[in-house]
Amino acid sequence: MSGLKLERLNPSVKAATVLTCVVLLSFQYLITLNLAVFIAALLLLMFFSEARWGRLAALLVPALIGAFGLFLMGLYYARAPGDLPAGNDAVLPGLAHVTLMPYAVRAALSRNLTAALQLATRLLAYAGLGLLFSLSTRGEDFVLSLMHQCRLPPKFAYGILAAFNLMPNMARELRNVRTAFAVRNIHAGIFSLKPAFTMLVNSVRWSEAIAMAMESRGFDGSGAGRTYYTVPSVRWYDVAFALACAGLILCGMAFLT
Amino acid sequence: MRFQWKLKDILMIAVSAALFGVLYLGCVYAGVFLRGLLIPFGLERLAYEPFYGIFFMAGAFGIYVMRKPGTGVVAELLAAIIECLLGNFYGPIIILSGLVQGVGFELVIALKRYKKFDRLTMIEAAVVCSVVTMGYNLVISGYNLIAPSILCLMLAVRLVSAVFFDAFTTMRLGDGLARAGVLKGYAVAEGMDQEPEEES
Repeated sequence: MSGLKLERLNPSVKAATVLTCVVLLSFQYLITLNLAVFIAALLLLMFFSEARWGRLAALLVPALIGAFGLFLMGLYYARAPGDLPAGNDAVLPGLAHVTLMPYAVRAALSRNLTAALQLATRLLAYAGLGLLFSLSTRGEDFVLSLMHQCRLPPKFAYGILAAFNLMPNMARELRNVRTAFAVRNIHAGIFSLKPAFTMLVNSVRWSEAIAMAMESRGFDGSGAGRTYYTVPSVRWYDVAFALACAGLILCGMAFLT
Repeated sequence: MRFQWKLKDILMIAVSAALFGVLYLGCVYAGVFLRGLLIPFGLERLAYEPFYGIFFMAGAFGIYVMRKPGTGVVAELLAAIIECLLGNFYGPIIILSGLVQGVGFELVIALKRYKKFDRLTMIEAAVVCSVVTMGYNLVISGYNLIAPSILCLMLAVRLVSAVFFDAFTTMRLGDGLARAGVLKGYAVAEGMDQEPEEES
């Protein structure tokens, strides 16, 4: 194994690991653990993958905005303190010293602040995990791995890849239809579904032709004993990665308070 | 009774799912202004709800066109995998959400034994799906920390969005495509011959 890179991990195992971590994280409300997961994911991406930092930043922006939105939502509209889940009654230590506000306001605010941070950091932890997968996995590898490791039938795998690679053509078709409408003096606003409908009719027609072509080349998996150009496999380090991630989060849930 | 997926069906669903994905992205960009407006009030999340119904469209469209057990769930999963390939910060989490959405939508239709596909059934399915996805948000997104009144507001907007996109837009799209002759051989086109003017 030359170089520890996230790209070398099996995509299906990576996806399953991310999903396991997400489900585990949804059972807890630890701000520290959420932040630790987020930071660990970013560090892994920055130093143990070939992901470009620019792309990482570009995808992080919507996550940060979302987290900020959730933070404010939690701050303003957290549930009444009485019926928050257990473990939420801890007043944030930092605010206990601020004596400018009446105690009641401080307590309410700090409770809400806890809920707000819990919500926002959870989204960040999920975003870190999602990015860990998205930025270190080629789509084609993921689909091929789903076919070999998760028994996705070949017709689904190749169908998904065909449709995915058809998307630029669909975009071009949409532009063509819009131009054709303009030439015929039919006004279609930005929100009008008319061009999209025409585009979809044409796309479905293409997809039928493509399906026929793919079937004639055996891409529907009906031919017995067909071979594959690449067969992704699960190695020991895939299992080790999955166990380490789940184990660390379980440890965090057990020992962080 | 089980639907035998052929490559043709998979591509048809995947291509329409791609369109729904683009439609959603377009709406999110269009909603940027609304989000900015709502951020100071702590309601930024609410700005996503008017478009939430688009998430269920692939599943709704799949079940409406093919009308066989599992077609809605599989269609929604196909859409989720494609969305995952497009690259965003949710990554494989989308596949989990897609599964919940697909099952949520097919629930009502399964209870009616895949026999009824009128407007009322689709509205019921959209409503149940909205409630199911809100339950999923309560657990996964930690929405159980939010005041119930705000959650009700979000759910109300989501319900309207789901009914609009999944009962009305999806049905119009399915019927329209069937009338355009590109859905030959699917259940939706068979119904078309018996009641040609069910929709005006």
